[in-house]
Amino acid sequence: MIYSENLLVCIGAPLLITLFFLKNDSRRFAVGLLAGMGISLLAGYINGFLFLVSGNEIEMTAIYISPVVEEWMKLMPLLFGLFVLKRDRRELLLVAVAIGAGFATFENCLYILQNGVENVFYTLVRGLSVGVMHIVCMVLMNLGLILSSKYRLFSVSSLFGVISVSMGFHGLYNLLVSQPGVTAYIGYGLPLLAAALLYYIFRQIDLNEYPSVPESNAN
Amino acid sequence: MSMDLIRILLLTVDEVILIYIVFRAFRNVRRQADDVPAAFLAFAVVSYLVNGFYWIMFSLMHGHMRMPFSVADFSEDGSLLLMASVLTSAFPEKEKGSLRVTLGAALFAIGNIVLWNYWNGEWVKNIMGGLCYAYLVWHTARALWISGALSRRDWIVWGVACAALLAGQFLLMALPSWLESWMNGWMYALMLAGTVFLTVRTIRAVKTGEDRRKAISLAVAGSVWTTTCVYMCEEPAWFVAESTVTFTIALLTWAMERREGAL
Repeated sequence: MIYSENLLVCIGAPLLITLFFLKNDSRRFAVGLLAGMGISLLAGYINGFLFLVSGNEIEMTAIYISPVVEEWMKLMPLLFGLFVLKRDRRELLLVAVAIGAGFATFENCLYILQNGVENVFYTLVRGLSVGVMHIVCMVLMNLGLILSSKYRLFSVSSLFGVISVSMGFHGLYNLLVSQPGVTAYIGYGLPLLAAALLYYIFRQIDLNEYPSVPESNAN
Repeated sequence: MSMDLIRILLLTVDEVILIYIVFRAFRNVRRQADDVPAAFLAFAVVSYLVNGFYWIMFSLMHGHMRMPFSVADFSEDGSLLLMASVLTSAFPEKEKGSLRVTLGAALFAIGNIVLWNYWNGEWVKNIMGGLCYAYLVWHTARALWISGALSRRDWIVWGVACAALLAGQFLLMALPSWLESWMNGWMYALMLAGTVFLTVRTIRAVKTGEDRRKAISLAVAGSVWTTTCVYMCEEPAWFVAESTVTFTIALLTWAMERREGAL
């Protein structure tokens, strides 16, 4: 039995204290990390509940249900930041990356507690792939949100469309790593490849040409 | 060679083509960062690509193509919604379009959803996907109407073709088996004719330098038509239909690359 709440207290407490000494972007990043960890814990509760209710095997829950729950949970703070706090695209990207990193960190901690850290190579691969996967999903969502806010305050269709890309990517990763062998290695490599592509795209696209807040909001 | 293997091979070829289209789509975004429809198209193609890759990997890992309701379905539905977003951003007018066209689009979408339910019985998946499909069909009809891509005669012919396609599929449920293959032949001919018509019109719209929005609406209509055909086809025609969807997405990307015309 893993007491995940206790783990969150243990990892989150130092981060919480840093908030008193940090300012501006550093503080936003720390808040994002904490939020990511909290979201990871809440998503774990919901996944556990759905696992019991659906009667699926744990592997099936991880492949079919977890990506949907986790991506929706991670989207919420971004929506809050974009539409309620009206943060600009640079701040949103910072918080999105921090949420992804916090989420992955907490998930990795739980995984290590459950499975041990005997194999350093596997731990490194797991840490890199899961970490990068969650960050890639968040950056994708953030890019989509900035884009959809460009022409309309809140378009449900584009929002669902954007989150479905993240859910699909997350689901694909979970599917690939669910079985050992070649597919698992493809799965571990996929987030790194996607991160490289996203990095390329970010270098090509000037986000400054997108408005800071939704246009209809600015009026 | 088994059907599943052919399917996986063809899907893989489609995926490679889609990866190239993703690069082209993002290149369009890079050239003009405020081109929101092009950016939505890039996202739609990524979503479609992820869905296809998921399907290939699932079938390789589990040894069968029948997949339970999963995140890949969200990706598929997401690509439909993002395609609709291409149209909503390219046609930001408040205009709803003609009532007759809207009603026709609604009936066509509902008819298809009923057929999907009859064929596979997965009603949750069908209703969810059907809502996204209906939304896209409505926006496509609206875009065709606003852009003036179809003449009055074209609308009548197109309406009859859609009605005939649906009526034919419903009729197939009741026909005796000796008539089924004959009817199926007609259905495939109709699907092919629709695909060729929209492809030719899209290419002509791009080549002759007509309004860019006209080309985009025709290309999306081609994509919707071929997607509809995929659900109606059986193997081995399914293989061709699946590849035509990729082809129409490529056409749409090409149409999007035109800089002229108001957006």
